[in-house]
Amino acid sequence: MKEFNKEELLKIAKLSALKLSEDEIETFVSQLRNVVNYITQIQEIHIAQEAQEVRNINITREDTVTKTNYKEIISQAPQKQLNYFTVPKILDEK
Amino acid sequence: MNPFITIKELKEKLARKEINQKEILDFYTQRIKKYNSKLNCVIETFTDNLNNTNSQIGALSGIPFIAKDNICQNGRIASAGSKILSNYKAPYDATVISKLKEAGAIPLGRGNCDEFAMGASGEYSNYGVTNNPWDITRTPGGSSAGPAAAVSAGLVPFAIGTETGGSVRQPASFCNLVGLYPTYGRNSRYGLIAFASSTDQAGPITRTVYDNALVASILSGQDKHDSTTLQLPAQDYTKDLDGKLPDNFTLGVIKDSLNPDGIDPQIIDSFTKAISHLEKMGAKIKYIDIPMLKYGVAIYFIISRAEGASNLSRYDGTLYGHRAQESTQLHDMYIKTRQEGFGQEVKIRILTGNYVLSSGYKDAYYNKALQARNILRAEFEKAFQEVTLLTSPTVSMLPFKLGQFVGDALTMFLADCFTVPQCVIGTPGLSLPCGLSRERLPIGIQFLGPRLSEMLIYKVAYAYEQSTGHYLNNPAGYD
Repeated sequence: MKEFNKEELLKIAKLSALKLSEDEIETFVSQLRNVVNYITQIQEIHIAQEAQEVRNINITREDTVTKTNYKEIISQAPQKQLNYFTVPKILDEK
Repeated sequence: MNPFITIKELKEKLARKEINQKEILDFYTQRIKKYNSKLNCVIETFTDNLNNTNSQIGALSGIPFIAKDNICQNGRIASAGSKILSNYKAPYDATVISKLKEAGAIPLGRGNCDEFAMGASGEYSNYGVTNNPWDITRTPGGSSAGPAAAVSAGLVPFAIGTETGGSVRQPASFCNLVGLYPTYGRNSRYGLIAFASSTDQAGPITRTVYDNALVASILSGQDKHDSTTLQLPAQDYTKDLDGKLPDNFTLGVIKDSLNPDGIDPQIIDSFTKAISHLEKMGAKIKYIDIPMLKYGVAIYFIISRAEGASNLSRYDGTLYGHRAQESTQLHDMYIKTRQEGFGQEVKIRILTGNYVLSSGYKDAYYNKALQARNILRAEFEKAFQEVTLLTSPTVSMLPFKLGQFVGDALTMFLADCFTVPQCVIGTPGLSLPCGLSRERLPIGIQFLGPRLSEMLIYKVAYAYEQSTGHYLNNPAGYD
């Protein structure tokens, strides 16, 4: 696998909804490269047939409506109007 | 009153009416006031509680505690050590908190921690570095840094931490305390601010094994708010603590524990003495090789970062917490909020997590790590067919100097090699003191068991603790 580089960092940053400063880009490339080099050792592990399947079970419950004090929740909104959370516009006007 | 008093002794004093609840609260509040500026372990003390004794009669009536800042306490800030949640007020109690309140315990504050529990030194909190009471130039460990430092200095009789990969046991070890990582699903995660959901668990940090068993019993049990809790009733881990090892007790020493390459010689020395001591007490000793252990940190890294990145995608400034100002467009608001709200280590972990999950790498890293987790689990299960419990030092290094690993976090995280494997496979482990180094720094030993073996672990740990008395060592300067 190729070395972790700046181009990959920027791609991942975009996927992570993170904008990095020039300083961060410089430090993060080398730190992430170290981490990626380290975790790549798991490629050596031989996975036998019986270990291949990852089993998880879903636990479900009845979907019953319970009363929640929404006022307490909405009171924490960074910005609100009446009982609505408000955010900057989603679509450009163009 | 002796500031290093145990919960058990406090309860006896209360029962004999030598002290009342208010006097206990005043005592600890004063101690926090006096020593917190030196340690920075408590972010907030709930002074409005002082006249509010808890009238619930239970196993912890009148006993104060602090909870790590990533555990929701109704009406209190829960910031998880992060700027992005600096103004977030929890609208409900985490189940572990409501259980403690029902048992009569009194919440006294919030403990400092690495941001979103992502760290091993307490250096990554938005609220400043926490210092180790044993040597304030050193780390108390992390991420449950504040809870451990506070108990160690006698500022509270116990604390609740959370562990995703060593974050209760490692600070307990660095502060000469007892810390539990329970079987995954034993305790509810409801109200814990999520880091890696498949390994996150709350655990008590206490001075003694008995106290730990007492608090852990209260935390345990199925919870309808957390579907990953096991269908088991609450336990009483204290009932079999008789100071004796179990019959036909075989203790497996993890071979890597004795590797001078990478483990501090003073730790090996203390650990070896502990093994001889346990042998004299009647334990049969076997040396066990777990070949997958060397991949433990890598597997943990991948799984925890992937889950962490996914869990932290919810922080975008929309519903609660910090929101960046002056954004003209929604996506811009997300990005600016996250840029301003997260610290460096958290950003690095989000990036690592999304990298191992991203198209082209998911099979090589994330999916492979899930399969490797199966093999790691199988190796431990095989070991537990040969031995009753396993043991190793809790951490491979002594409490290190603050700032020692700036820019080289990877080396710091490699010291978690003995704790993270249990978290990956969800099996219990308990760290407790096994001596001091020449420079009077705490050293911890841990006992590991198969799923649901907490009762047995406590029994063995109690016998060892009572027979050695290392827990009686306290840091100087906090009388």
